[in-house]
Amino acid sequence: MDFLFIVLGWLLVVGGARRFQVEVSHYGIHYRIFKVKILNRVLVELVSTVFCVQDWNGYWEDHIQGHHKGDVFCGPNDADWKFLQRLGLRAGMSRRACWYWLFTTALSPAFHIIFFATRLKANFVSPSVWRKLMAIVWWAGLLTAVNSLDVWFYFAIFWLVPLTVLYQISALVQFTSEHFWGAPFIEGESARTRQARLSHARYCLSPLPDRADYASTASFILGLVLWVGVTLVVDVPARIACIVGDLPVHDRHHRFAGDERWAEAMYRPEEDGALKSAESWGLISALNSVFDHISSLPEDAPSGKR
Amino acid sequence: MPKNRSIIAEVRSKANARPQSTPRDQLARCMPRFLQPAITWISGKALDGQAPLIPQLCRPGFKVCVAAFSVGLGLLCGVGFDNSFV
Repeated sequence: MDFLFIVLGWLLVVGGARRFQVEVSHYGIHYRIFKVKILNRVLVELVSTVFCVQDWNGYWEDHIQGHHKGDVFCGPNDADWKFLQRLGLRAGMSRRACWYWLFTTALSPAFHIIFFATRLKANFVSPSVWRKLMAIVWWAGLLTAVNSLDVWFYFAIFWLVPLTVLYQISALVQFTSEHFWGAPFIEGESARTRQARLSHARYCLSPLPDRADYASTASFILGLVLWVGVTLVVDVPARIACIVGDLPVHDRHHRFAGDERWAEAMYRPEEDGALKSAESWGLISALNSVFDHISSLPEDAPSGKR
Repeated sequence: MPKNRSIIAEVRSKANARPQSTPRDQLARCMPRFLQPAITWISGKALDGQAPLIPQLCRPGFKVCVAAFSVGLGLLCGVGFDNSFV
């Protein structure tokens, strides 16, 4: 029973924290939570303080300037692609090498130290004085409360573990599967078409086994059991803790970043023609699509390293 | 070609002739109607013309509440864990 509580608690805490980052803060950065601009900033600073993640200025720089702009998106100088390269992902790596990289990176102490150091720096070193003060006050208050209530064990299991190691693994998988990274620019292609071409919908549901694809009933039943297993072990947990909120339809956000009806994008008709993005069904398929793209890139593709 | 193989080939060709449907559509066909909102949430893909079950949850302000609810519920799981463990 304890195990069940831990797994469920971790999934929900990580999922909630990721929702705060990729939905609340993300659309805050795009000024799409509140109509009053300053309130968006206040919200992002509060969220980033509580979860010890990138502050407004850093996020703005990396996300708006370093990722969304037409002349950097998914190219060699995209901030997110550069971060993945810093962790060891390279153009031209085979699908198998990419999977190996993903598993070893997710479990690598070096990755977690680099990521966590970046988060600490974004809270206690690089931001403005008042944002640093927010972080100091919050963490001093939280740690004092934990000490007073003597709930260090509970705090470590249900706050520190999910919001450091598990949060970072969730972010790594999300980042990796988000776009077709490192793609060269095509002359004459519009920014919006490029955004559509290099994004994909990541629906968290693997294709159901089709009876026609199986020679016998027994193998079909085995296929169904496998599908249920993948759904329960991979796709549903991924939806709760990794591809959270509107991330399955993140491709639509990139085509229309200023969309005021972003929160209901999932329920609106999709684009056709050049603005229709690819679809991936299931997290494994989404990662395979990105890895196949990376393996198709020339090894000497510009790395975009600073 | 053995008879059963030819039947499989025929079934396959018929399946291929059908209009392409997404895994979401396939699941929608074999699940009861009341489960549709749950399948939509899990997959992240709505059926054509499907409306949100709770439209208020599709407002930006509510996204903050949903995220906070998730973190809060996760922390509450810790209470259950603590009670049964200690």
